Amino acid sequence: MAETPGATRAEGKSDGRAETGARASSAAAAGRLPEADAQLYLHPQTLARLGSLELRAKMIVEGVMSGAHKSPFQGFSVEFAQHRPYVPGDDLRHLDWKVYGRSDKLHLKQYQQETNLDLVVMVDSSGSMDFGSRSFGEASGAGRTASPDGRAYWSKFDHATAVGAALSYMALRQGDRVGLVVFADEVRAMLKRSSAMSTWRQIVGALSTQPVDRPTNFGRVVDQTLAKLTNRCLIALVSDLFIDPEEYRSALARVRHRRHDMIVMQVIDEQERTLDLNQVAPFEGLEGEPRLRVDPRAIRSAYREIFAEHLETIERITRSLGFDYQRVNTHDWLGPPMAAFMSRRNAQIKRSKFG
Amino acid sequence: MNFLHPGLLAAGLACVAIPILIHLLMNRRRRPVRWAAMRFLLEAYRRQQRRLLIEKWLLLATRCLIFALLAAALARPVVGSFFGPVGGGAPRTVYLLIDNSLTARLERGEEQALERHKRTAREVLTAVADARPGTVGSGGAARVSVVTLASPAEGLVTPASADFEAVARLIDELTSTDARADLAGALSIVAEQSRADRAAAGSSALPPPVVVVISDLREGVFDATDSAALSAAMTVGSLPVGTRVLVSTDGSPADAANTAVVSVEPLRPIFFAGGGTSAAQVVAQQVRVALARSGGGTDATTVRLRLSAAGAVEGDGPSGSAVVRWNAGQQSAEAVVTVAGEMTAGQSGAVLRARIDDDSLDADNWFVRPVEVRQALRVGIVAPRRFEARVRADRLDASQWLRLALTAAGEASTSAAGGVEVVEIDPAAVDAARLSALDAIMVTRPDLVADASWSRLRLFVESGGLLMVFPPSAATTHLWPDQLSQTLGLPLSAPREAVVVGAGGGGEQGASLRLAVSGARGGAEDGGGSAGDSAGLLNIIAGELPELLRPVRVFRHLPPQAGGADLDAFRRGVLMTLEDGTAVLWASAMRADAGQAPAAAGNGGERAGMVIYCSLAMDPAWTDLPARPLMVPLMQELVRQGVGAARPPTVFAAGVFPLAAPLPRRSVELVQIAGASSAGAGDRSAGRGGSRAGLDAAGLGARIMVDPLTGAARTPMRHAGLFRAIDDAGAVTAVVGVNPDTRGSRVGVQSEDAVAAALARTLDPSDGVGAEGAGGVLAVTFFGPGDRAGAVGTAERDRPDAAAAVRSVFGQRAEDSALALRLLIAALVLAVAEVGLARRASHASVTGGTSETVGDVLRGERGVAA
Repeated sequence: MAETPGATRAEGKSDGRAETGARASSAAAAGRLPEADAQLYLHPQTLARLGSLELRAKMIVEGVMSGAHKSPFQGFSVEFAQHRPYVPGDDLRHLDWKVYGRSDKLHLKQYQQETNLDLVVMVDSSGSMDFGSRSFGEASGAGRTASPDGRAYWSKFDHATAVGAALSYMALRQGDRVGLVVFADEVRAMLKRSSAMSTWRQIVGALSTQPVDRPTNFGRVVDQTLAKLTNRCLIALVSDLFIDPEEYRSALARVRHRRHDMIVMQVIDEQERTLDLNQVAPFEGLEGEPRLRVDPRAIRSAYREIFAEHLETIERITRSLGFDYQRVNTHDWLGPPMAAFMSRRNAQIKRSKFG
Repeated sequence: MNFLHPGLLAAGLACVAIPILIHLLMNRRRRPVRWAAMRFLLEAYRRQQRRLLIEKWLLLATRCLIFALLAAALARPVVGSFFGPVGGGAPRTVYLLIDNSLTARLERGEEQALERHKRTAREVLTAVADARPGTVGSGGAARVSVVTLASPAEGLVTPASADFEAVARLIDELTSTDARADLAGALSIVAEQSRADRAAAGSSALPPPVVVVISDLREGVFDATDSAALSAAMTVGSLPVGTRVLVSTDGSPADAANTAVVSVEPLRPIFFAGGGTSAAQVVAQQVRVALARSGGGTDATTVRLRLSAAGAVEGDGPSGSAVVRWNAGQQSAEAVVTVAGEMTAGQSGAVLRARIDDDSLDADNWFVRPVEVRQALRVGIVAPRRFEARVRADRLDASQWLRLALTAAGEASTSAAGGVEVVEIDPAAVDAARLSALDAIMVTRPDLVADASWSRLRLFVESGGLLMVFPPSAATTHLWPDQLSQTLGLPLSAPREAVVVGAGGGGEQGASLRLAVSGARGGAEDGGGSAGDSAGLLNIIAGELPELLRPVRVFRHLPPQAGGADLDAFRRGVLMTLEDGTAVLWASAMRADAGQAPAAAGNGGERAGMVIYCSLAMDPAWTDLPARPLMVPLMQELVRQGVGAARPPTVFAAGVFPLAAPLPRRSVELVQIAGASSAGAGDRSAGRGGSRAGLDAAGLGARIMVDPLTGAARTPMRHAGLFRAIDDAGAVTAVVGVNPDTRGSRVGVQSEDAVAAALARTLDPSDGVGAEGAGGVLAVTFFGPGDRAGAVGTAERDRPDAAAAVRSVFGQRAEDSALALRLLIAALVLAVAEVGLARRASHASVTGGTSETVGDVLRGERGVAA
């Protein structure tokens, strides 16, 4: 089980930072942890949309087929892949005697093994995720105008929670195991992988009570996470990725090296993409950046250019390492882009296997 | 650069603070915006920082400049004229030189020239006030000084004043005078005042003054043909460098003709009354009247002249008249009028009043001259008394010869020719009481006169007496001439011993007399103003003198010689000489001490007292003159004319400090008993009546204080009139007549070109208009109504009015407007540029409002939550 959110919140307060997230402040004011409610983050329409989707890994992952759900390749659970020359020490049970008979050479028969999926959802809870320009009531669709901790806006972390919940839902529905890593400058919370359906509520609960106030140290978080993963997994990274591209590349390269698969869901807010503000005001960062007084109209163009360049860089890096990348806007409904992404990904996997 | 409305400029410049305040207010504390993508915002700002900074300050500067330009445009900028410092803030002084002299009385229509001058002055004043440049913070306004031209020039408003309303009131109160114009004096006042202003300002950066001469500049004001006289009359250097002279003249001057009574001179300065009844005395005297014409009317014409002699205050008296015929082109004339009739008995004085027909300038059509009326002259002969009853002719001494000569017509005669009473005074008994009752003293034994007596004789002469000195025949060594010249201050000396005439020659003994050159010329041309005025003493008998001189023989004499260095003064006094040119008869009018005389006295007014030196002793051993026919007329004329010439002057031209009475008869004040003629109709009717020609009751009773040291009035008399000098006991010491100064009544029109050239030559040492750094006048600009078409030598030209002329100095209003307009356009262009610049700097654009609206709302909510 993961460490408790309360402990994490205590860490955040003992960190001594002047700026703490609204979420943590409101939670502290309430005197108790907000009640986790998955319905706040997954709209019924989104759930309905995700019901027909499945989450597959691109590569073979290690694991034991324990799920009760049906595989789309039922009957071919052990599937031939290729031959290779025998070397001493190989299991003789895998020798292809037919080939030996025909060619008098020893070859082993290798099989592609169909197994269940271990999904690790990594959700960014750094301070920059506590930003949003969409109303909570409109984005949630659950009939509430404010979050449990009192916020009226739908933050990127809320959206990331929704994304994580959706992915977990899909995996759990397939019978796969799902784990959770919540991180900022370090891993702040972790749920062990489990295929029990109750895991989904645990994941949503953990996310909804997580303070969002710290800076990001992505490389450290990746190292900490990889150290915990003993088998190859499908890692779903949900973050705004306002980090150094080189640091990001280095971290993803290590993931790739460990032969994990990865889906990168970059969450951005529409307003931070457009900088659609018209009054001079002091801007203060959410992760301890210096305050800046500027007329947003004066630097809007340059800002948009830099922002777009950063997004492209992140996407390019991600794709160059063979991972999937999806940009998620907090102002969009989660269902359609999620469905489109999954369909496209599954189609790619099929093509790579059978094409 | 100066501004017409410095207040607006200050207010506008204060408005420059508006964009600065807005800029500062924009920096006020606002609610911060929490922003996630701060790293990108910082990076964008870092990339745009330099541009943003430039745009920010450029925008602020543009906005400030817009307000500044608007303020400058509204404040009506005035570019400093090319000769003045720009924006120095020092006040420019405008000197208004207003002509209120005699020619300012010239009328055109019903309006006097002075009224026109005053109107022009007010226009100039308004123009100066309107164009008055001001500077922010320095209060550099134009100031105006007013100087009247009537002699002596007077600073009516000096130092200059910025209270234009008060100046206008003073100008309105100006009246015309009977004095001539004193342009040199006025310019001297300007130069002196400018120098004082610069000294007070402590720097030479003071803008040069503007001199506005408001005068028709007729010949009587300023003779353009004799600019050297004006230059010489300037008592205080030249005008400051760059002085601009504006001259307002009558653009279309009337072709006026003016005839003036220049002088009234009785042939005998003292009227002798005799005969008649007990209530009235018969007077019959000849009076010479000089007239002068000026202006355009030089055709042949006639002028009627009326002359009367009456009491100073009232009463009719003898009168006469004459018709003066003028030939074409004749400019001066002289008429001798006999004044005959009865006047009230017992009067010691009368006033000769001359009047001619009215013309364009009435003020100078009359003349007054107080004259003394006597029944006999009292002559004292200083000589030892002889008690012999009857003496033979060959044993008569000098005093007896003189008595005989003086009383040839009968002692104390009552005839109109007048008689002479002779009083013998012992040389040891020359006291003040005896002398005060005498008109003349003849000293035949100067060697017996004591030192104290010489001093009393000096006082006698200075009080207006005649002193005749003859060498004593009895003395062999003559020391007395030294005492004479020293005591009386005469430029005279004499040899110690008598000179024998013709002693070395083989022919006839002795030498004959002849009239000296100066004596032959007479005193009329000189005007009696120089030391040689003694030459007029023998004018009446000048025609017969050659015949009378011929038989006179001189055997020895004590010739007068020039003493000291003043040879010219000595020569001017020689009346009669021997054939070899040696002086025999020498006369000199006394002069008041130069240190005591008022500086502006002039007019020959210093004369009082006369000394006549005869080198011949009335002794047969010296000359046979006593026995010749010349003796009686010579002595009679010397006494009669000499007494008159020794009297202090009683006639002055307006504009001088008249001498009330010679010392030691101290007068304390002058009381006006008849005023000057004004141009009123009532006065004209009085003038036609003849008895009160040119005088009216205006100003009667006015009292002018007299300086007890000099005997002259403390203030100059610019108005003509008749005055009575009063001593501290209230007794009348003299009657003084002040007449219009006919030197200033010449109405001839001068061309502007000649006037401008003469002014420039006079006032600019570099002898050139526009010369830089040479000092003096920079330019002479004529302005005023109309074109001076037809004026001599002046082409028709456009003449600016007063406002335009002033603007030419203070900066053209049209140029001001153009400058203001240019500033306004520049401000508008900058405003348009500011809009573009602001739009570019803010990167404002029309965007969809949805996200922005939601964002704004949420930002506010988030802020509340935070």
